[in-house]
Amino acid sequence: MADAQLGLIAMVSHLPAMLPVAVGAALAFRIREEARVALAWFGEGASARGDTHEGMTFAGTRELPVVFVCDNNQWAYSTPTHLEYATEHVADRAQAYGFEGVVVDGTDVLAVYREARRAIEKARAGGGPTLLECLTLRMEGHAVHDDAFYVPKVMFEKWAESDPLERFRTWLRANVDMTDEEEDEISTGVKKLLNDALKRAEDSPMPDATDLTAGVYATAEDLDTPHHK
Amino acid sequence: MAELTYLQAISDGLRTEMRRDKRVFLIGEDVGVYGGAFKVSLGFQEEFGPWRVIDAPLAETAIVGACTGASMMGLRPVAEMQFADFISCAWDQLVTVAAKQRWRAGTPVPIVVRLPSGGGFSGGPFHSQNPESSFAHIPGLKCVCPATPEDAKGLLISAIEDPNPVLFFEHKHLYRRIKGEVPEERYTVPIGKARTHRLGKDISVITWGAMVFTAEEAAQQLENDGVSVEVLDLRSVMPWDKAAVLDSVRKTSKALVLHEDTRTGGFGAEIAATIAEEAFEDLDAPVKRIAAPDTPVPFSPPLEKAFIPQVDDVVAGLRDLAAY
Repeated sequence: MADAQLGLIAMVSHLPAMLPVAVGAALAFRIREEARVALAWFGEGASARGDTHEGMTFAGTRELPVVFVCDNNQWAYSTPTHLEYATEHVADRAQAYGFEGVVVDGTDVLAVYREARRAIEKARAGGGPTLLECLTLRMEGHAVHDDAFYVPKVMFEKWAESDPLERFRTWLRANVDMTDEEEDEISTGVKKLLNDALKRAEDSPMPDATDLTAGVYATAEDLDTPHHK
Repeated sequence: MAELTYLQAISDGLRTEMRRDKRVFLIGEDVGVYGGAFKVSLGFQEEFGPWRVIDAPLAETAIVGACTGASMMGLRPVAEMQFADFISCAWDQLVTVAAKQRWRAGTPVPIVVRLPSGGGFSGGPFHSQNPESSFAHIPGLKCVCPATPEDAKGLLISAIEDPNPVLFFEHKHLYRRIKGEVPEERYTVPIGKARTHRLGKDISVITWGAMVFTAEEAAQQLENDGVSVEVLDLRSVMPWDKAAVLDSVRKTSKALVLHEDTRTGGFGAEIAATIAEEAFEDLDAPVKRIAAPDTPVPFSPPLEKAFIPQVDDVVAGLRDLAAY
């Protein structure tokens, strides 16, 4: 989920709070004139909060190398999009911040890749931020306790027809002659990766209560990461 | 040594670190061309350029959040809140993001947020507060409150060096009123070590920030009564120098805790409770607290004077303790 060594920043549960943080990473790249780009993920629910506005305002004024990726899955817990924002698209707001907003079919893997790459390359070349909105549907509840009774059944049926994995699998079969063996290798590999991670988590010892107060404050040694050289 | 005002000492500390370490940058509202509302960064943008002295939009959440992100990528951001009061707009970024990253994900957040705080100039409820207690309550944050020019420079440099989010409360009433000798070279003052501002043997006053000087004046008056008052300047409330407080109280056997922030839940309550828990047997009188009443800071001069603890209030408190 997070690894400072790799430049992956741990999110907090107040999800839109991470947008200004990503903008700060982009600011660091701009100050050091590094050819790096920050990516910030959020949902259409998170787009409602002030952090999103402030982060995008600052990124826009300074044309910072950041790409805002909105996974618009149409339901913020039980709240539908028309109660989260009054524009047609979240990406419509980008114009107000002075950068480009792009809406893409979030179930089309290649389209998402193409638009993400374009936005990242643009940011890396000094072209400023992009707000990339990927339209999709959350196919389950907000969490395991939620059966999503409030989502119309017809909506699930319609979006089930455009399962992104299935769509891309079909495309690979039709266009690059993916074989059964290759597909099997990918599926087995992913399953193994997940199962190994789960096993490692389950095999890890529970923490000792004496560790409770450890690590609240950082020490100078903590700054020994590739970013702090 | 040069004689500097408290404000000049803060500028000097910041300039020293920005010259020494290219990772350090300043961001805030009007800190660039204008040099900051109080002119702490006057001339900085000419020296360091617009990408190290950054005029931010009026967006405190973006300022503190951007500092957090930039610090994770290896820079050493210093944010200026135009007034400490405006930090309420960035509460979530400090409390939810910056304070918890080390504990939760192992990622240090070495940022400094400068907070021009305190009253005494009829600034009213939105330009005069001392919010250090609120943040001292949040595990993961440090709160520094210097009183002298020498400490202001040395503690600011320590704050920038520190691998944690540090809130640097600089008291506006001291900016141009307090002058003192400040070493020209770079030095640090350790965060968490109290300073004995005045030695005494009968009563200990434990305080910080502008109240150090209120306590000092009161102590001088008590000297005429033949009562010797020690003034301990905490310098930081998180971490705070518990050992120095207990040592002083054990020596004098009487304690007065003084702060400019409001009384209920103020940091003085923590200090008083600790003295009661750990030095009860050494006390010859109940611990006394003097703090502002539980109201917003008033604009009106007579009301503000009644709000901020005055020398006379401290003198009266000390006389009560002396007579106990």
